[in-house]
Amino acid sequence: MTKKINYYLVLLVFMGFYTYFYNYQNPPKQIWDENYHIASAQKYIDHIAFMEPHPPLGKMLIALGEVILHPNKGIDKSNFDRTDYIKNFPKNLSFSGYRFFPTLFAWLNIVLFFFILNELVKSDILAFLGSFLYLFDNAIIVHSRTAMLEPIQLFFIFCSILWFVKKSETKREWEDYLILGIFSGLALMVKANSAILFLLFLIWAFKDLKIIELAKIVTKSIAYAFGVGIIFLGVFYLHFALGKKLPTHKKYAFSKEYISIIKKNGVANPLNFTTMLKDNLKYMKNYEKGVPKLNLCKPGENGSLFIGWPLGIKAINYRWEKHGPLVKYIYLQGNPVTWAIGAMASFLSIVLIVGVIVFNTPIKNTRIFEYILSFTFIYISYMTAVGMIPRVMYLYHYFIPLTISYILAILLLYYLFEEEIKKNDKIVLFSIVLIASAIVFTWWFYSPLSYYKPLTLEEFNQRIWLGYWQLHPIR
Amino acid sequence: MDIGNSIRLDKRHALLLFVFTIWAWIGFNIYSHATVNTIKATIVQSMKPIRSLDDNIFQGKKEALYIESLNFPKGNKFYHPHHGFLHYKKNFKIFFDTYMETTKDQYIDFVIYSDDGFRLVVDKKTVLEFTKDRPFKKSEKIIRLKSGKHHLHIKYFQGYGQLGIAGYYSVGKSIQSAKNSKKILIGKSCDDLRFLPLGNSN
Repeated sequence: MTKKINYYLVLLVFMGFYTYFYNYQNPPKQIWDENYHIASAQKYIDHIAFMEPHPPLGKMLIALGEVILHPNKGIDKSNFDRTDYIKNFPKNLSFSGYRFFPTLFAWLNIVLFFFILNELVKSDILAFLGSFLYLFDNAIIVHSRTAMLEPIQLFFIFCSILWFVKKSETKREWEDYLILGIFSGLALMVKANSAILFLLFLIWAFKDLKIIELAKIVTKSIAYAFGVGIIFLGVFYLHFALGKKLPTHKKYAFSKEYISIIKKNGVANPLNFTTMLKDNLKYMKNYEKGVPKLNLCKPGENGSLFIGWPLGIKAINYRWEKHGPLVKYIYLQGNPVTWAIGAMASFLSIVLIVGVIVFNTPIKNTRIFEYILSFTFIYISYMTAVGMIPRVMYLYHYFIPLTISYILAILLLYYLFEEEIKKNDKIVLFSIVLIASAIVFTWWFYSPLSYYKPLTLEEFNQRIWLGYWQLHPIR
Repeated sequence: MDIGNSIRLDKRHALLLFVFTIWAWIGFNIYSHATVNTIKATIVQSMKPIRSLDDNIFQGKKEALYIESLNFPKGNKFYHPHHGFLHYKKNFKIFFDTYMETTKDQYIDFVIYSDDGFRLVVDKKTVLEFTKDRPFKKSEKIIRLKSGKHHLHIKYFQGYGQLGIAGYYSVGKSIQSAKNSKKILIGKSCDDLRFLPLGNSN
């Protein structure tokens, strides 16, 4: 790493501390789905067996934060073990433990994002300023400063993408596939929609197919599958091993065999693994069936159609608090500038690709074009896949394609202005700095909605730039 | 592309133009969403049915709202573009109060659409009214206003069913020109008539 990169990294980490990490324990009140996630995390701490619609790793890390920091000594949290949805949190409960790892990972993501961009465009200044897209995105910030799964998931996704980019231009060995499998497996063990990372493997395999024989591809595929598999089995083993006591409030999908395993203290016995896994997978499958479908006619519906996500539809009011004429909000609302850049980048990437394929437009830089092609393929695949899911989905399900659209924005900028960037052209650099400052300005302007700062009704209304975001003030 | 002999425009300038567009978009949004409140709206919920403007109110919830325009569009829900849905459906009255200032004597054309009734009073003199219930319909009256500061008061009631009230005005040197001029929402100022900002806010 050069000295310059080190400076940029220090600056990013410093700024990221303030945008993502600082004061993350506040408000000490439940936000969005923390009712569910903290209830699950506490069960790991108290060794209560339970089943979950999400894979276990995210909840385990939420629990680990509470175990390491243990800020709630002396507070009775036993009722968390008797429910899957905490209605009343004890007074004086600190959220600093439960929120620690999601927030820490969100902070570290800035470094990963910088390395991804730097690896792609080999321009530290562009990577540095490009990282502002993640660093100052109000929606990702809001969601990441809570005990939620997405920041942890994004961490492993960024690890996978960084590894994918780092090894894309080298001769890949089976070990590289194994590591990609491990990172993808870790992301998959946090949230199932990380399965999109399978496309990274496919892109590698497709490229390798052109230059090496089929037998080697088979070995590499096995290595990748082994990486994913070992994480899958390892995380589930840990999930079972931690559940030593039967829950009192719910039967989940525990079979007689599973109950008997718990009673006989055999949860850590690998021989019982398949029985427990079968029951868990059955529960996950049935739970998904019970999730309501999107109903846009329902008053107060927080869900949204995937097609509207790139435009920021729809914002979600996670919590609010009224003090006379002032209202504090935690609102899932993106930074309009970063989201607009992301939406334009994904659209223009498609235009570029269509231009090359249909109209034989000459390719300026094959290496960058291939990356644009790969990431656009992932973006479209993800959006197509979620478009086929009938259950209700929310704006934060767009975070994966959103961050990919940010990568596309930097790739496109480099593709169009490569020579100027290399020559440090003043107009281009000045423009990039102006875009970065617009990102910082709008982050600051929308920051009251991200950091629970009081706003008057007029101040809130000043932030409703587009009606379809559905930002609604509390009167 | 060349301009004159000196400046050569290329894709770098397109990028710069894009950046300025972003900043212009930010500036426009902040400016256009900044509001100056000019009307105080006192909303009073009645615990018993109201069927005409002057029916007694059996007072329930009462609140004051400060708004920048008299604009509650027709509909099933009481809604203001800047305040969102207000949770009033039936049997309530609203008292709108504002001050306006003109620099010269001129004709003012007041147009009120309402569901249900209303009364428009300028300096304690009734100008226009419809006191019973009705669907969203128009009432119009032109008055001559002397230069200076004037108090405008509008009383509105909603019985049941659909609801809404929107008020407009236009200014002219003659009755005809006032009638034909562009209509502006009450609360929004124009060159010839200014609504005075309120000291309070929500």
